[in-house]
Amino acid sequence: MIRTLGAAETAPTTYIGEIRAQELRVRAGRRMAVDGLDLTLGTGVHGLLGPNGAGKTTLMRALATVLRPAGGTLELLGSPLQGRVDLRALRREIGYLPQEFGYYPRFTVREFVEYMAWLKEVPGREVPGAVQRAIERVGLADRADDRMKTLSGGMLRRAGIAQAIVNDPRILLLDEPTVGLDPEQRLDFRELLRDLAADTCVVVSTHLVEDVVAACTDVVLIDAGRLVFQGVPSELERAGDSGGVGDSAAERGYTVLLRQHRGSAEGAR
Amino acid sequence: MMARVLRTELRRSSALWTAIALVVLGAAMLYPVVDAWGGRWMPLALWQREYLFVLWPMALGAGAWQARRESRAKVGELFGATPRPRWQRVAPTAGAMAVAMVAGYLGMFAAGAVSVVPSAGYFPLGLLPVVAVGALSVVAAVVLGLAIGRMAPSAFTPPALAVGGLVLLITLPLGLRQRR
Repeated sequence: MIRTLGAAETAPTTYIGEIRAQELRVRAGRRMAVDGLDLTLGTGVHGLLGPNGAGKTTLMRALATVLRPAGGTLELLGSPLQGRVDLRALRREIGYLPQEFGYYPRFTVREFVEYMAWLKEVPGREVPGAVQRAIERVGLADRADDRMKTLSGGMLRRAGIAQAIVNDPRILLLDEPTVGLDPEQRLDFRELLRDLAADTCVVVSTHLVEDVVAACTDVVLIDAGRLVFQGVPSELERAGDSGGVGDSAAERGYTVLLRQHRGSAEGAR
Repeated sequence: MMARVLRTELRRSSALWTAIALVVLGAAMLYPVVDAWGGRWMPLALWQREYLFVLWPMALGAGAWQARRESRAKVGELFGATPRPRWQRVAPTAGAMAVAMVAGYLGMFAAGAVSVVPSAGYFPLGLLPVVAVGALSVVAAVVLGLAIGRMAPSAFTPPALAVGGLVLLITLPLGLRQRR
């Protein structure tokens, strides 16, 4: 599709990393689920790993501007999230698939993605094209005019990804996007991630270490609300050389790094 | 874009069903007393207005039911990360429900008109404001219902509003009459 580029789109970026967190603290209910996290993420696909309760979802919710940080600083696209920040302009650049993806069951896939594009303030002229592209990219074109309630679990997840990318976000947050996808669909999803990685900062929270190794340019491992490890997937695999439990090098690396971190955290106390 | 969203809301929200329910319920209340208004326009309009004491609480409940859609579908998290202000998000929903109310009220009048047209010779223009005010009042009820349903998004809110409104509208005139 041919369209003119606005000045804002061609302007050089003036920040280091789409996402910058320093000493970030975010509350989940009464608990401080993210507790002193330092993290810088630029363009690419970042796999967010960590055990249950590590604060992955809380971090994702803070990055999606749903939760306000309780302490520290969080900068998205160069603007700090505190005081009178223009959330509205920032949110236009964010795509978010929550862990629990809520949807209107009576809407068709196209209607729902279109509705989300409207909520994200995508200019009206661009909406039909953007909706069609998003639906095609997740491979749901043949079900586009079926009601949401008729979709299977994996299809719903893909509809969720379609609504997340419909506004061509610069920050794309996907909380467990591969749940319910069959092996073939997961391969397609990895392809989509690689495609997005060129110009988007994608954060994918997952339990599947193999997904991270296969499709991510960068691994972020957190535990108890803190950063344990950040590096490329091959570094994670190398960490597994020295033992650890798991069926693959990456899984062994995951357990080794977690154990080391917990050991040093105990020692510090 | 607003027009597209409004069209989606008209088709996918409870607006369509609410309008149909209003026509059916309205006709079911009008026809048992057809002797009182059959063949004459103004009595039809006045009888329809009389039944607002049922239609009004029903509209209130319908609005509250529609307002619960977001919490029912658990879309708060998803919508909470979007830039569009909440009042703009609610506008097409309220618009669709208002259109449904006007259509339903006029549909009920049309259902009655079937028994008026064959024999009525005189069409008093004075009934137009009577019908218009009635339609406006059910629109007001549905919007009020939407607002209350948003403030109290409980499964009990819509039936409580409908029943409570009905009881209030039945007892209020009785109470006022006793004072006199």
